[in-house]
Amino acid sequence: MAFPWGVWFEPVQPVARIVDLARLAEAHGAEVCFLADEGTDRDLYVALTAVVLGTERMTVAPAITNPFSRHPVTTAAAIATLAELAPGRVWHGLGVGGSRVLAPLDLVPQRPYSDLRDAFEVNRSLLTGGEVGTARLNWSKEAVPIAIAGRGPRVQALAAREADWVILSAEPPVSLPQAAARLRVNGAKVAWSAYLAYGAEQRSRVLGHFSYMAIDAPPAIRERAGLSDGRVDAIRVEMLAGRLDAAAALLPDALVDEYAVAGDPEGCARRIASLARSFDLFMLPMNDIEHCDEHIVASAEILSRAQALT
Amino acid sequence: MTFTGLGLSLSNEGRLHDTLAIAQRADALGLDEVSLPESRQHRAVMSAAAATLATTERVGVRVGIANPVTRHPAVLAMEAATLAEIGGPQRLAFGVGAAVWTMRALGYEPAGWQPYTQVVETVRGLRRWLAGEELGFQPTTFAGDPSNRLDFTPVGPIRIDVGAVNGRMMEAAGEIADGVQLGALVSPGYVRWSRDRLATGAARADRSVDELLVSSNVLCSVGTDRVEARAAVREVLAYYLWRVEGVVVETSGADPDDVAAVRTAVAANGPAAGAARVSEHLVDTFACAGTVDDVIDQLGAFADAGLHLPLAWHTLGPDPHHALELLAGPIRSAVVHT
Repeated sequence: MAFPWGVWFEPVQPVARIVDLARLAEAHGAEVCFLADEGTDRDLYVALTAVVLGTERMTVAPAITNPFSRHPVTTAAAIATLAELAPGRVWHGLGVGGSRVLAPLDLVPQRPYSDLRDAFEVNRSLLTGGEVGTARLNWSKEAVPIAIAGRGPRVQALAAREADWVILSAEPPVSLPQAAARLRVNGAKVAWSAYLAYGAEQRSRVLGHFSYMAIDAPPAIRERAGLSDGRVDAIRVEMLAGRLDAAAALLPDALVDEYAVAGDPEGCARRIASLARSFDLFMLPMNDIEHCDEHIVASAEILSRAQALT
Repeated sequence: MTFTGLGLSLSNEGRLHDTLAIAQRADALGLDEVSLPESRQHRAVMSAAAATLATTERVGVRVGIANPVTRHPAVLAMEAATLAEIGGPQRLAFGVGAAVWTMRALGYEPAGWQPYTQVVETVRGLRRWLAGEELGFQPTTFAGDPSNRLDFTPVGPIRIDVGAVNGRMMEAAGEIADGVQLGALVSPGYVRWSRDRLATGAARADRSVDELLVSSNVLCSVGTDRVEARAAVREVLAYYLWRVEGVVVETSGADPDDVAAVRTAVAANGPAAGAARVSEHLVDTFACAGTVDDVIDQLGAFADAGLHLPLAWHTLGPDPHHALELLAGPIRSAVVHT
């Protein structure tokens, strides 16, 4: 059975460009558009509104937003408004955020897991007609699936237990089947996101994205990636100084093989096809800013081939 | 005197598609602005504003107003900058205010909350962030570092107005904002009083009050039948007379006994009961209601008091569809400087 796929953007480009890219992706078969709530880039809900109005059928979702930069009731109202605007085309996506998200706002959560759990419960209640304190969105009529993203065991357990979707964005292909089996036990679906490194140029573009993962990932993941505490500290110093290229240079190239789908286009397609039973949705992140158009088109061909192979 | 424009103040309480339909009609008919509120627990104002900008051609869109309590002030900057990308900065007016009423409805009054200081710091921050600069000061009412800035260069300039009702916030608006958006209920007397406070604040920043845009919701109801049109504003007027801050009534010139009678009736039996106690004098004081000629005359009193941009709101008229045509047609022609 062919699997659905979608595109995942960071709002680092003008909204009109994001809408154009979403349209391009939709024309090439993408069914979902995730938009990140990152740092102090374009606003998530304004941009999602533009995307949902600018596309025909795509499902859109924040992927992910956090419990800290907006009050949970404000977040729920934003999601419900989008859902009213485009019935059946909106999901919600929550996570604890990370350095890329919260540091620019100087937000330092003291209880990230508990706050995520509370925000999830508030959002789910309000989006299903419930009351939370004096808050109630009694006009909200659309069912909205909720996704949770996270790398740590507690967040993933929460996602598996409570959410409609679990977003896996740093799960190595090799361990995806095991992770999916664990996360699907209560019926949650798995949206797996992996960078596609279908050539030398793409490998180098992909590597830089692992800087934030290196900083925010739980110790077990960092250890598996060969990232010592000292190396992570050095990466953090470079990133805080805004030297992203220098940070990327400290990352082992083997991370691409570990965490991305790497190889030539046919090899990437076969790898994805071989894992298709372990995800319900494949989410394609952008490898860089400048080449999104060609990346979407090239990746669509790979994903189409992978679909044909399943 | 005449106005710089004539707009509509819409609600986010109805279906977003219905709100958009009105905004699109206002756009097509030639009205100058539509204002969208962040009204308690209704549709999200930023999505409503984004959708309006994306689906209209020329009408200005006002966020009137958003608060810095339920989101980090930097998020407000991101929202403003992103909206400006959709419609162009010249079509956007971005209002910020303490929104105390909204916070109470949400049961959300943070410990140690300082609404005035937070609004002032937020507007200062928005100015810097939307100019592509670092925050530049250490905020005391939100998390932030002087070096914080947006990750992208906003298109601009973006108009930043302050939503103000009382004297202190009005003076702050005069000092730090591009303009002010007055509260839910206004009268020519209150507009005059507000301008004096704005002038005091403007003087602190070595500028003239004439540099500020004074906008406000104005209760409007226009129709061919004067009695029907005036009747259409009574219930909403009763509701706001009951809830509005004291200064709004005190500066209006309204008979205190008339106001007290309405408030007592609303408190006891709700707005419909209060409507029955709304006198002709109160309608004349707080609304522009009646025939086209009546509304033109009444708006003239607001213009003389110093209002620049009235935002017709709530009932619009016994037949809102027809009222919109009257507002955008003969009324706008008579009251807007072109």
